Amino acid sequence: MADQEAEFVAFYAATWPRLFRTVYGVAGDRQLTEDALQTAFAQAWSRWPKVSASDDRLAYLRRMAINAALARHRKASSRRESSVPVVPDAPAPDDDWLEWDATWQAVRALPPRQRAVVVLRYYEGLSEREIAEMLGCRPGTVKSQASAALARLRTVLETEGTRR
Amino acid sequence: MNLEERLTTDLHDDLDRLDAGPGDPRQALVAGTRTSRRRTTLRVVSTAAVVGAVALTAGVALRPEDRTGDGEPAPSAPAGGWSKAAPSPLAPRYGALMVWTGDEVLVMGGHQDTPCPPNADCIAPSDPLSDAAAYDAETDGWRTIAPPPIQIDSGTPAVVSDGIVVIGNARNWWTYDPVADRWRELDPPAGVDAGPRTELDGKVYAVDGHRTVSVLEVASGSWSTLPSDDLAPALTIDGLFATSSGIVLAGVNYRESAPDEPTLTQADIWDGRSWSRLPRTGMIGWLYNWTGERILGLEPGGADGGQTNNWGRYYPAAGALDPATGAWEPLPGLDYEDRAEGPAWVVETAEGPLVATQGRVYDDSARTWTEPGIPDSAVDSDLSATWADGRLVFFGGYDRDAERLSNDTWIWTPGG
Repeated sequence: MADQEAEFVAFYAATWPRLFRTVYGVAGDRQLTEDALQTAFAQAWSRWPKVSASDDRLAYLRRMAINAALARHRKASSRRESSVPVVPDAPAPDDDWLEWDATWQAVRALPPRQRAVVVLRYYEGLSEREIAEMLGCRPGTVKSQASAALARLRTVLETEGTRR
Repeated sequence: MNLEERLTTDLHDDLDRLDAGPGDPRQALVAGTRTSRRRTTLRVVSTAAVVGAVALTAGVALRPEDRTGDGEPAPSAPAGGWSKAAPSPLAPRYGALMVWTGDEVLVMGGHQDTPCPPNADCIAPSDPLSDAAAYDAETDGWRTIAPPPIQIDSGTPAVVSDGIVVIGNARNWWTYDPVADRWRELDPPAGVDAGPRTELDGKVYAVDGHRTVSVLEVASGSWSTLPSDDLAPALTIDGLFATSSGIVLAGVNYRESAPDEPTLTQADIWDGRSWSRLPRTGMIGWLYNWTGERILGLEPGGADGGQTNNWGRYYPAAGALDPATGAWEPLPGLDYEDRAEGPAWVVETAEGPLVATQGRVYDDSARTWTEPGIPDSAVDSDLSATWADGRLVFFGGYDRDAERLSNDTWIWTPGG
């Protein structure tokens, strides 16, 4: 058991940063991201013998975390943060610069499922089939979501005109 | 740089700069250990629920604290029981349409006349209202929202897709975006001729009287139709469910009724390539709710054919169909006498495995029934309700003793 726990902690430490950035791209909110990731890691630990034996543990965690984030996706970040019942031990890292990034703001304004498709495709570099498997839908759905997202982004970013 | 190149470059620039922090594996270890213990205990309880149907039909509800035998606190349980929400900006009413957007509970329309008593021969109800408000359970706050462009009540077909509300009827379809607080009229093709029935992956489905399934892609507003279900003999159109295994049309085939067996519920499924017919179920009632794993019908009772045409056994009205395998199984706790034993607010609403019906709540994940009872309220009929992230939110209704409509909002959280 101690060996399994050490293995889990090492896996957690190695994968948390990368997963955090991907899930943040989908959730658009630090608190939601941490909630979704902790939920996914807790699920993984609850069935660790099976997870640790899988071929791609990272993909397993990413799928669980993304879907946990989508399940909580619609909580606007300001409302969510104001509802946190305890004062965090340390101040949250400053992400203010993201507020001024036109591309990020346009992606963040997409509907959650379209945002997930965009982040998984252009940040994680996953194929439509891989994204479909992750989101539990058909590749055609991914294609149509991506198409709608790009159409909206093209309109927003071309209207905005300049970058940063 | 084209748009796709820009996205690739900018998303890496943006997200790679984020300070992810180290995380805290202890939280995951504690929560994961608790989940593992709970899963083991739930497995035992689930088995006991099937074997111990007598206990269930006697009205014994399984509570989260019953499920843990190792001294662990109930996992992630919000404070259970009843609570009253902040006052609503809406006038008292009954029969409002309620939906959960994922963020807020929307309360729309309804009626302000006196509701018709059960079994009474009333004139038609008043014209529905066309105002609306949104309730946020996290902040216990209300906001008035843009009034619906049509009169709405609890009978108005409505589904929610990625946070967008889609309502409609045979003539007009509308979407409501809660973030933009904006209604938008859609332009359904002439053949749609039905309201929205079910949703999956950003698509909303409707079926008309000719078994034509229309598909609205909400993000783009584009419409299409599925290839027609020409399987013969045709089933009646009793239910349409967008499931992870395909689009399911449920009904019965009256031509297959035999003297030694009732007409049983069946279903056709479109898997993206073709229609096929699932095996006949063992139930005679309708299917109503897709839980994410199974399609449920929760009507109490059943039939055995009576004395003259007795079928030799009892066929329940209720059951659960797994569209992935076609497997069907009966559900526990649905004899005629298995209504709520105590005071109850009778509503019909479902969210995932949770179904409120007949004054009780069925949880298909644990196969258990619970009686919420009622809170300290004089309202006794005609409430509306919706599930909202595991909480059952009630609005309005009528106090028959005082002959008064209500605009109170009550929330029941399982686990109390």
